[in-house]
Amino acid sequence: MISAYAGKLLRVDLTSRQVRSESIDPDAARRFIGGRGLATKMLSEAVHPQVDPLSPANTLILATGPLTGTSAMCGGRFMAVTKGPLTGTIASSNCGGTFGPELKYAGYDMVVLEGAASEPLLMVIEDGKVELHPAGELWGLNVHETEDRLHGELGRDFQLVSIGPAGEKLVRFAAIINDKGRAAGRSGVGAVMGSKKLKAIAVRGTGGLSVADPPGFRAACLDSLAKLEAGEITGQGLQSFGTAILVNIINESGVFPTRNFRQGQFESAEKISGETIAEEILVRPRACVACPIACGRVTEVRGGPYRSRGDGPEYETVWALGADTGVEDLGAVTKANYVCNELGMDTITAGATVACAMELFEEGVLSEKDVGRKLKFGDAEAVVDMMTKIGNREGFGDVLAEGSARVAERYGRPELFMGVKKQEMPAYDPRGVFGMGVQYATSNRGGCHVRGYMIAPEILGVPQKLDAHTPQGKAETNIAFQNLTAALDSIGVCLFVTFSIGAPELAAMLKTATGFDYDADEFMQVGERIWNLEKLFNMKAGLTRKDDTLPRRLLSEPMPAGPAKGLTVPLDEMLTQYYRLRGWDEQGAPTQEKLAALGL
Amino acid sequence: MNVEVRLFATLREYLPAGSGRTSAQIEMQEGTRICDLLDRLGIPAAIAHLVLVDGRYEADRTRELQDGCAVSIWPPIGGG
Amino acid sequence: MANMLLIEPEKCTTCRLCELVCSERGEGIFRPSRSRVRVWIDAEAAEYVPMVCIQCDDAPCMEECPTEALVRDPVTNAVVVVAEKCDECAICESACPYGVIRCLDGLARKCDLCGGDPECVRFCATGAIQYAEPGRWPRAARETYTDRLRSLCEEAQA
Repeated sequence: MISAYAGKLLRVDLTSRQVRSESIDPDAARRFIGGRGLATKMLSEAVHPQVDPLSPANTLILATGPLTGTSAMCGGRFMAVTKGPLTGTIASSNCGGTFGPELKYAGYDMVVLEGAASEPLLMVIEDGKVELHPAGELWGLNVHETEDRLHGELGRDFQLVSIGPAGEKLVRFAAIINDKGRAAGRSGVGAVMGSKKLKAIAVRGTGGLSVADPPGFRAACLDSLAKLEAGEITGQGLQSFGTAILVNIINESGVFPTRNFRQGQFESAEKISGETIAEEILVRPRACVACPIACGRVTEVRGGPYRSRGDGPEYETVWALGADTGVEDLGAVTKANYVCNELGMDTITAGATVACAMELFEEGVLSEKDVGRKLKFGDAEAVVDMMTKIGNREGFGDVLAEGSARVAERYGRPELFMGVKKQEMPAYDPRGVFGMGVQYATSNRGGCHVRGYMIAPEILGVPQKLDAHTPQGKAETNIAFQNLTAALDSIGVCLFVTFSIGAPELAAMLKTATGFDYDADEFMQVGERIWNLEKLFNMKAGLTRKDDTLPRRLLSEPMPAGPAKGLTVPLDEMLTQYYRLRGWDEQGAPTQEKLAALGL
Repeated sequence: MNVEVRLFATLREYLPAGSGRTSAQIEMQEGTRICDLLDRLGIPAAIAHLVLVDGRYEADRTRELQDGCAVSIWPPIGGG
Repeated sequence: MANMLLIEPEKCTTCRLCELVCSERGEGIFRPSRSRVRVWIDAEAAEYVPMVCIQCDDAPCMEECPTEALVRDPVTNAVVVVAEKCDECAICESACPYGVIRCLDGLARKCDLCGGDPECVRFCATGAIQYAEPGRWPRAARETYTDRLRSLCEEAQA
């Protein structure tokens, strides 16, 4: 038994309804830590990368890290790792809330879900006792109804993850939701859960977790806490204004993708900014477990047609449901976010898919007859309406539920898909942030900002400012960020700590918790090992260098106006450099020497 | 000359009375530098982390401002 | 005069670091279900209340304990459990009007102010839980807090 880990995983064959408890392998834990890393190793061994992601042959792993459930700063996270139905690549989506810690108190680091049930099921885990119940009565309920029902029946002490109608109906970007508003959002992990007919997992744990060196761990936590409190961003900024504080800086820098990346500035940005959210709809901040930052927003739209209350919106969401669709009505954006939470789907892909459809509509490719309504940029009511239709696969929503890559392809305009590897890019136009271009192109789960957040140095000047309009040095920084994030996603800690602390502090918490003698260098090397293993999975799934690219618009249509006017992304130069620095060949394949050095 | 000043996040408290949510027009002498503007508004240099002039990052606080330009200033911010 | 825990519920964000470090301090492991401080969370109403012992001057738990297992620490003014004397009767639990003593696994568990350096306070980033002179807590705010604790305790028993 290793300190800080619960020490066991729960393997569930949903086809036969057999449940087994297995020990966590200490050697694998040392090399892949937990969370994203250990789950990726297990998925790679269990699942052929070419399986249909929505078939019983796929496996879905919900994995905590060793620091999940301890007092490590922001250590309340878990990852959902599987082959993604949106991308066909490895998917690993991070989630906060309360579920991860509770799973560990119940005695498990991970839940490994295999096969598929023939009828809807509910899994109830209570301190090592595991039961599968028929869940026909829950099937069809939205996430909030499901949580309310289960809390009523089982008690409020149970922590829950569930899918909504979007997951049940295999919307390719369905999410797994915890605490009504916390999502393992991207790549369609909720559709995989739906394909297995698992509606929800309820967990209650009264056990505890010990660490290897309690005084050392306490000191490491207090050191990190002091740095988080002293940092302007983590100490005050995120709690006061949420992540949408970024809206104005990204917009003024001319890289706030607007109307499906046609423009880089949104004339109404301020109406959907963090400052406006704080003034108009914020009820109070809410944190995940063990998080002193508290970026979460409990909000209420107090009047008008979108009157309601819920969680969010955060930055990427106000962009996807706002600027990308040209919508400036904060009430509508917020309401559309609530609908995504309730139906259980990723706000980024949902909004970006509607934005793509809006461009197809304005180009005359889609007609009112196709869509069943007008679908023009800026139509707030249409965005809210389409969220509901997508999540329920009603009418044209059934088409959009496939994601914008497939929509653009279907209507003969694949170049209007604004993403990578069939996953939509989030809220930064790389024509004016070059490092984000190489990040999007190389991300192992396609269009994504949280594999290597180049916005921090290129726009925000954290830890120091890099020139956003040059390719120089971007591959190198991006690789370091990608490795750091892969390791961080494996220990159970939130990415936002990296605004104030780095590998030395994280390795110190990990070492004193687990007793494994990690230092900052080994921590980063574990991240590199995980990144390469994910890459190998994708290669076996059939992806090649040609998939490491960006939409034509970003490579050959200069930004039309603003500070980034005239720029396109010089991707080839950065990509060549990236492969070389990664120790990969010209086709983007890890060399034998690199794999040997990483022990893969 | 006239300069548009935009202050965000916690820096909004340094906006002159009667400003909009995040911006104000300020009349300055020709040759005013970024650091002079910060002084005029009472913003401590240490918390003016990001300064954009017409959307372009400006590291040099002694840069002279031009008539009609927009100066946007943030404390350290993050998100994503 | 000894310091006391001073609670400002409106500053709480539900991170529950207080529960985590309190349980580690008291139990040697991270086990929030055994924490002396509990954060009551009503997500719908967005009401969060860190529930802590306020070390009553006339402490009913201490008065009603049949084995004199609860005693006042002269230095910190905390009412503390003498484990060897506790016979698991749970009378203290029902005597407490605020629901902040719990008998679990055969022992009464309550806040002992960590001997004068409360761990929850060390880890509370927002100042929702502070350790301060009683005079710093306005009477009205203190009564609002204790009234809310009492009503939450009554709701839990109902």
